[in-house]
Amino acid sequence: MKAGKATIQLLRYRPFLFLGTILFRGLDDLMPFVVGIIMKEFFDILSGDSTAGFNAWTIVALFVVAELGDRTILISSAFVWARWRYAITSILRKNLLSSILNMSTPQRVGSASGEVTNRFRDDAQAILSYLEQYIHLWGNLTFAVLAIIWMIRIDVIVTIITVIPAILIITIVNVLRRFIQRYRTAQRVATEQSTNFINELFQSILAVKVARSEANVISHYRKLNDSRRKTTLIDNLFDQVLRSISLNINNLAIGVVLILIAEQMKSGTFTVGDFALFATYIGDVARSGSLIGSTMAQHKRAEVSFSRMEETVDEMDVKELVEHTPIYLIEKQPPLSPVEKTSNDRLENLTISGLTYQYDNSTDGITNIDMNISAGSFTVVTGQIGAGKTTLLQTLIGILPKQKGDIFWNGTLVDDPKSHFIPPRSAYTPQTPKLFSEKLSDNILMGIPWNWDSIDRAIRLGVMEQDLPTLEEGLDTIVGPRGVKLSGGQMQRTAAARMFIREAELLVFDDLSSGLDVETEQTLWERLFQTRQATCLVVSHRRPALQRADQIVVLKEGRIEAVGSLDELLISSREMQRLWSGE
Amino acid sequence: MEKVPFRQYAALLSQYLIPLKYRVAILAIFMFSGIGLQLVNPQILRYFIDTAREGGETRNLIIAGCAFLGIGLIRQILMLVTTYLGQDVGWRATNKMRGDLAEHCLQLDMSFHHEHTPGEMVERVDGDTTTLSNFFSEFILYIIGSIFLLIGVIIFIYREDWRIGVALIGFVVIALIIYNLTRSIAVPIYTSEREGYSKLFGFLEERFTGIPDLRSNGGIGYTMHRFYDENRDVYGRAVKAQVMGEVLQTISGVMFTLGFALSMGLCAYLYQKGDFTIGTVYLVIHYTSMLRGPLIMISRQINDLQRATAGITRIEELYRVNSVIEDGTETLENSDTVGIEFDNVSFRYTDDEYVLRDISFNLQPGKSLGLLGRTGSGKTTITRLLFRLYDINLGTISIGGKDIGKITLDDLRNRIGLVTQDVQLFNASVRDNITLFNTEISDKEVHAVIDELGLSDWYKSLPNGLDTVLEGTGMSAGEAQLLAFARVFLKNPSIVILDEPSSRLDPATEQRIDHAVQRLLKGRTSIIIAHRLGTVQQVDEIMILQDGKIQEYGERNQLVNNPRSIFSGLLKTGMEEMIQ
Repeated sequence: MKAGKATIQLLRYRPFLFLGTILFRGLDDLMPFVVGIIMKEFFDILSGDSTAGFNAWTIVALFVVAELGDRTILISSAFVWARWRYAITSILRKNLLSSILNMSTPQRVGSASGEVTNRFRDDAQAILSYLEQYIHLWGNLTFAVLAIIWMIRIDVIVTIITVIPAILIITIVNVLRRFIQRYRTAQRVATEQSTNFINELFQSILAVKVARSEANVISHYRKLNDSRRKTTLIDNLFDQVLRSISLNINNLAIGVVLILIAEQMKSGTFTVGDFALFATYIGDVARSGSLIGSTMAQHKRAEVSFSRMEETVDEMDVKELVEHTPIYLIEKQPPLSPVEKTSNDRLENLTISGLTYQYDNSTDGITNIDMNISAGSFTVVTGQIGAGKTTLLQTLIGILPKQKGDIFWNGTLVDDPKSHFIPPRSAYTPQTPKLFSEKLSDNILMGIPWNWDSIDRAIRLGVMEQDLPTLEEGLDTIVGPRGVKLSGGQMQRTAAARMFIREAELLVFDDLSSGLDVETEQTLWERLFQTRQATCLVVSHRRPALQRADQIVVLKEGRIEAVGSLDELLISSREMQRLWSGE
Repeated sequence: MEKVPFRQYAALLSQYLIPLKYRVAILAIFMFSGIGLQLVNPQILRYFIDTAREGGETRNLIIAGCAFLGIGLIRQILMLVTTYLGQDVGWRATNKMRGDLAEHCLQLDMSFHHEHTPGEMVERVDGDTTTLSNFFSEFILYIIGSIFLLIGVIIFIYREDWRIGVALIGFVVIALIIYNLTRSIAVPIYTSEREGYSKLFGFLEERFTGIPDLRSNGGIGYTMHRFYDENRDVYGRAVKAQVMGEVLQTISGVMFTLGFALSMGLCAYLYQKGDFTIGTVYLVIHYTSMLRGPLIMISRQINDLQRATAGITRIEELYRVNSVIEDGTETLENSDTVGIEFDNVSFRYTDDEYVLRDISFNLQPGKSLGLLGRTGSGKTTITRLLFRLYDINLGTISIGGKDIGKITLDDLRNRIGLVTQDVQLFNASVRDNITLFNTEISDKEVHAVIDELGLSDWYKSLPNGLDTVLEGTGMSAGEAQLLAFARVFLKNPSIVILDEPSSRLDPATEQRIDHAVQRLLKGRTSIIIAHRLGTVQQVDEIMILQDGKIQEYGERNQLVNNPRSIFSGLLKTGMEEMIQ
């Protein structure tokens, strides 16, 4: 979908608010027309050229009434306009967020979260500013038509000669808009680099502090900001050129009018009132005309913003970005419906065939992985650093997009792993789990209705119970940004509880025990094996896990080196022997 | 919310503008020339109208028209230059401020950073400052420019007739008083809007880093649910803020209308009395209309100023937060190895229970200490205290016989190297990631460290060598860990702390870098936190912590040989595990 179509789709999102805003602002845009007529009448009355028969005081009173009316309209419009604006940015944010949550390569967003947040803020704003052009466009064009008619009635030649600069402006704007797009991108990139860096900086605060590299990172930040200044100034310069022409056109045109009417004013065919009318209208007519041009320039900017939002998610089209979906600004959102496990969700057998994922610019990844996991089994994936263990798990459950291969759930081909491997079929704990700054209980539940028994069970399975009394407010503790108020082990156990509470058929966990001490780890495995019904697929190189495994998959350089039980592998696989004796 | 006094604006302006004084001076010259020309132009109009009505020379009228046109063109150029310079000054000033603010926040204590999300910090360091950039560039240009234009116009009107002059002075003064009064009403509304947005974007930013966690555990619906809640919360605030803005505009509009009507009325009266020519009426009306620009501008700038005030208040708030950790003044004598001594150290994060109690130990220079204990027993806290990331409540910590409270943070932190389990990578070049943006470290040194760590193969796979930009993906946790080792190697510290260094590494890789780690530890005092017994095979001393207290502490050999020690018990569990 093109930006133009997308714009129309967006404009149709809240049509009544939009039309209401146009109506109110349109009336306001007609104000200069009324003022011009009032000024002409005022001077004509004084100079004795008036034919309307008013006196100067009536005109002054009319002026006050008209202006007060206009102000009333403006205040009323603010209520409608503000609601419309917020609805537009909300729908963009909502649709983009929704696409991001379902995207096939979430790591890309995760590693540039500051930059992506920027798109929610600045690009949504840029698109909004563009749409607002259409609000002003109609009122201004109506004004321009009316004003030109009145001016022609006074003097055709002077009108034509002064309206031409307006056309000139449109041309200039059209020529310049190509440049604007180019520099706009440079500015956006520079801004992103700066905000992204400061974001990373606050994420790595500990590393920076202990390395005492505060001064170095700050000087890098200052450098980034300086290039941001340069690109912004260049970008704005073009804007300023256009703006200053449109602001100053009034004076230039009045100068031209003066030269043209010198003779007529002497002879009295062009009155001071006529001049006042021209002086009032010319600037605004030119600006209204140039609005078409500036809308075009804004269109280019909006295009950049649309495509940047679109590019955030590879598989997204602008169409989805502007889709009309509820945003629940006023209406209540429906309650979250809990997921029910159906018989189709039950796992009998999971088969992987030829699964492949290679990272760009790197030899890392997995190639041609075949695996078979039967219901209730415990499979351990092990291997050296960089062997592709995590990649295998992530590709299977759709955190990384598989490049080749098929996955069969109970013999049925899985079309879209990322939407298949979710509760109640599957649940997952990553190597470095991420928590969010809300209550500990909300981090575990994530929308599942509160139920003491299941929370208690999940917490015990995650060996979290001895931690709860040490936390300020137990399950109600706000865990801080990214869970920083918890220790590394506590975060991992919270994430484990988050996985266990979902009572999924398949549990996928990546090196769950890495942050745990010997005793806690022992307890965790024991409890898991005592109560386990679920099928488990885990990455680990820890002995308790390897010893209990029904099946061990040894990976080496992205390929399966060997598969079997521990006893078999210790005899047959050299890689397994190396891994086992390493500890 | 309290009003931010003008004194504070002035302080801020001078702090950031004095270093830019030459640019500001050039800016002022261009701006005042523009204002001068703007005041001259209407005089030409009066001359034209009156000359034409009296039937003067057409040639003179044409010249007047041309003059009017020429001045208009010159003004346009002046305006462009002024705007460009103004923005340049604004950006330079706010960039300085961004840097200063980031620098300030960086040195705040860890406890502060635990309370604020990175997204929120971006909003406060970058977002609030961006609002201020208007304050710097446009405030100078428009407020000061407008004030001078206003004064100029009043003087010129006063010259025509003192009565209109006085009336308009009264009008302008009343208008400005009213604007000033409205300042305090709008600020809390704008602050609330900004806070709402920063919460919303903080929420989003945090979610972006954890999409796999959310999605694979069925949290998409819940996340959307929360987003709607957050978004709706900002909705109310944003609408209120915009309506408030319109109200302020209206106040200025109504004021102007009354002033303009006043001027029209007086002109009509003076014209009918015969005091004014029609040209003078036009001149005065034109001047009066010129009041509109500056008045609206001042009103809008007060509007922006109010937004800026919200920003300034929040920035001031941030500046008021101070690190409680005071920098020391002394440096350690330059001896290669230093010992570590904890003397009855107790520590708690807030007013909670103590996390560490009565910790005492003495680690001789060059010796290594293995720290064992359950998660949450205080192992990590001990290492953080050594860096003075927090100040202890009781007791003393000394390095090289000197209380760390007295040592400068520079000296202290440069002497200690830390490898944590979580390695933070920047979206920057490999070089910057290894040197942490220290430009004084040469590529040669970086290469040497890469070779020493056995990372040469990895290095060869990089498409652009040290300039390769690391973009999150494609680097395994183990490789990231090795990169963290590289950082410490470059630092060449006297003390090394390894915090669960092997937790992410599979045993084979661990062995591969083991010799490098040994070299790092050699001749250095070290503390190693480990969960596995294998990791502490080579240490000199062992400490086992439980609930913030020392449960057992002694030389490793002695503990191994003492069958009743907890450590030997642990070794047995480990042995049993092996036999199984």
